Amino acid sequence: MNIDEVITQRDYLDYTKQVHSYSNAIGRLVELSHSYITDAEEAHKQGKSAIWANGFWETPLLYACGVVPVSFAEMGRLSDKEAMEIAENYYQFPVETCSMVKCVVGQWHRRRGTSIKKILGSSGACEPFNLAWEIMKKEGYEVYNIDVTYRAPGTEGKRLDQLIDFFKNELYGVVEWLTGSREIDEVRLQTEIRRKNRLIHKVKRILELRLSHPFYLKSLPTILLLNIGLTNYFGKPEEFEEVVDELLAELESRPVDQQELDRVIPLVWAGGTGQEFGIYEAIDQAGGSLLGLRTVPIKPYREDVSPVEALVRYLYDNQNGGAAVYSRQIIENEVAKVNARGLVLYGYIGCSFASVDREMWRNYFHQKGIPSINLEGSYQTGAPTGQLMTRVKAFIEMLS
Amino acid sequence: MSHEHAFHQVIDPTVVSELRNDKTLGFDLGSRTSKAVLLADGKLHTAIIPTGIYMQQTADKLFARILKQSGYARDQVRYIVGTGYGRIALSFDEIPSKVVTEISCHAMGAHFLNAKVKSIVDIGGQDSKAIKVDTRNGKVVEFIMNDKCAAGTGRFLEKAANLLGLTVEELGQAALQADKPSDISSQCVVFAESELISLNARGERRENIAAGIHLATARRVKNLVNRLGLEPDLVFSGGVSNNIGMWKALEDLLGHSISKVKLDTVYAGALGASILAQKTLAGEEVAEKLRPGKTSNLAASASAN
Repeated sequence: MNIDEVITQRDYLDYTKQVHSYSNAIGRLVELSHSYITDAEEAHKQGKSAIWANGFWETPLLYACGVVPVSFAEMGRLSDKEAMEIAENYYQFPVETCSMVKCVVGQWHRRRGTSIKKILGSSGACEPFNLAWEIMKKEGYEVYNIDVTYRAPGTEGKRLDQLIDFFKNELYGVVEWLTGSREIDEVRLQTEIRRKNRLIHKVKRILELRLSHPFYLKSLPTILLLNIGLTNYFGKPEEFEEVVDELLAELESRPVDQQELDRVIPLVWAGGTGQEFGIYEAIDQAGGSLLGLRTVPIKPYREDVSPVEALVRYLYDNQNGGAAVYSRQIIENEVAKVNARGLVLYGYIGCSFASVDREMWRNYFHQKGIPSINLEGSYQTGAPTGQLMTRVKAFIEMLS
Repeated sequence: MSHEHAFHQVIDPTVVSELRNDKTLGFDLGSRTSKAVLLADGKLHTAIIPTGIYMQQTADKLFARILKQSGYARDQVRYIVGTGYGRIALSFDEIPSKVVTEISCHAMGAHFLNAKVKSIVDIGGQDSKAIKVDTRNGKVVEFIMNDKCAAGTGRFLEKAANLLGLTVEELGQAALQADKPSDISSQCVVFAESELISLNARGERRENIAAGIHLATARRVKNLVNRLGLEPDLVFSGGVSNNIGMWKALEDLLGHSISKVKLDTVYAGALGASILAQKTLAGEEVAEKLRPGKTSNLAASASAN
């Protein structure tokens, strides 16, 4: 397949697999992404328990309950124009509403009564998603929405204990919704937490190895590895871990190519990762490499406390979520770690929260002499606009 | 206007020695017009034509035009750099080529026209850009691009001129005759159109409306410029740069003059492309970045292992 023939996001996956034809592991990773939603839906039809979920900190809990988390964001990512049109024309979502939410809503609409019925929502998501869940209730979906509290900077002691107690209670509510009982199989949960920690450790090692092999695992598969792979395991934990092990082995055995290191332009990607896979391709082709990502796993789950508390602590202790000031620290660490020459700030059109964050980061890093580019893109299918590609290429030319 | 200039007539004397004898061509395929600059034997040749639907046809036509004007043969051109929004589609079988964004090309072109230039305002047919330039080498230091709305672009000026029954050139001239520029408040080209119709219907002088249109456009550009904190020497490039009304509106709003150079700055992008072609031949630039459809060296080497 030639890049000129790429039309849909699925085409991009095929193209990516072809570009990485030298790596069996990357090919398998792309296949896991390709088949994730369809295989999960098929498994559900065959009687496997599965729910639509965001899939982040809660993944160990869901697997411990025997439930496969199916990322609704990923369903939207591999969406098409019709899904977007359903949201805008059938549900009358304003055009300026986040395209990610619209894609997901369109896909849920198509699946009414024929696929996975349960949706786990959380108040930590943006308002349009909360609206989407309300709409889906009316479409026959069984939606369970939990309150995810926010730990403000400096929150410690008694206040933190209160937050922990509150959130534990919310988790027991999720378990009851999933299994009919508030009992949690702590041994199983502990096993899942250990799996997660193992994978976090391995993926971090892969990211470290990318610093020596910046063009081996290019931008798109890196994002697939982190965003969906590490969060949900593509619904196939054992298979995903095999792929991670294989990729690690490939990278460990590969000799370092000094020429690659001389020509690479290390970049950090901060913000959402939309559907515009063409942007990643443009970065790769221009000699850039997304070596730092805001979504890197920062901390493992604690294993010195009860597994339920470990889940809660993960949310409150992990600065990956929450305020822009937390995220900024992560980005700053990544910039230093990869010796980044530039920062790509990306958000979806219509996402007002992210646009404020990006502006804050831009100013902060600008003052520190780190150039950045602020991109707004769509979650919908199709190639990025010419102007967006011009910005990306000009930015990398500027850093060359 | 002449299509042929000796280097020393138009290029900044402090950098003219950096140009070589290599015959190189720069194409800047914009959304409205396409420009070419050929550097050859100490001379700079220019050509401009309207952009057609098919970019390769436009490039071929432009190529033929500039060869005819300059008297050179196609096979004498050693390297081509394409830029502008139509750059992706370019292909020249027998001549090595690469594509570079118009942002890098405008910066390089402006640098060779005035080596002191620190800032560029580039207003084209479909977007506007503010660019900061490194005075040491013409490379981009920072840039910002407005492509969210047609207001602040050449397309808006064209639309407004049509509504007033003027050409874009006449619109610029009319703006200079204004005694009280109309207040065009809308930030959206669609609503601005309604305002123009209302102003026309109320009998407002066309000159005042024309000045109001330029000021409204310049205000959007000014906000873009302010974000980067542009400073003199400032060059105005792009298709709108020879609109005298826009020139005045920008100077009024920015509060300082725009530097004049000795070549029409609609050619700044093509000139920069041609210079980058020379630098590529000299090994100062990467000869060819990975182009769509080509397999990476890594893929080739890794699969061979």
